[in-house]
Amino acid sequence: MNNRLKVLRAERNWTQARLAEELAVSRQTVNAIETGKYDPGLPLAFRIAKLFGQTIEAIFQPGPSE
Amino acid sequence: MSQSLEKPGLRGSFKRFIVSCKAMTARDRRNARVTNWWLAGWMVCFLGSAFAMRGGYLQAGLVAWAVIAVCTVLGLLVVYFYMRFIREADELLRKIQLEALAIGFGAAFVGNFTLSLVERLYGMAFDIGDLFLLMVAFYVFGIIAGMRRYA
Repeated sequence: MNNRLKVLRAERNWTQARLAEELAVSRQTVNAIETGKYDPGLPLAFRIAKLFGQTIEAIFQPGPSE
Repeated sequence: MSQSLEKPGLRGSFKRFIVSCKAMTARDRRNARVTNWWLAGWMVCFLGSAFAMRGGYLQAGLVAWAVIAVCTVLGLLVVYFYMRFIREADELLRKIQLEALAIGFGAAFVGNFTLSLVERLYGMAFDIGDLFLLMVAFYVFGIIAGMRRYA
């Protein structure tokens, strides 16, 4: 799954650690989502969407194989 | 990611693993620490009891059964705190832990039948502790592999 998390984070000039703190997850989780190694669960996806004031679909898009 | 983490081979992998462990949330680190302390307590109880029984200091009777009961309760507490650790864990850490448990359980499951065949073939006798060691080794391998994979 593709996502715009890194772009949204950069727009606010946040580090991964800062974003992890905002989302109450580990920095490893943020990094894994940004690099596409891990897709977040629904509760975390909703928290991300709420944090950036966007819909889940605006942040996460299905990959070519999905 | 810093350049040193990009290095291939064991050194880069080890550094990525250490960075991943340090990147746990404060709650996960606290829960892991609590679980590890209970695990240490259980190990001390179990090893102390085994040593005492082997040395003849602890004979069959009420005291021995009380010691066994204490060890069992400590073991159950380890399970309880480990379950709490997994339930409250960051979702990626939970995924890594569950995958590692599956690998460890799978290794013990397959290993049990493999060792039984080896026993029949060569007339050897394996201890159940051997299976436990196999399970733990593969669980640890699963944790390291998971941490590396998602780092």
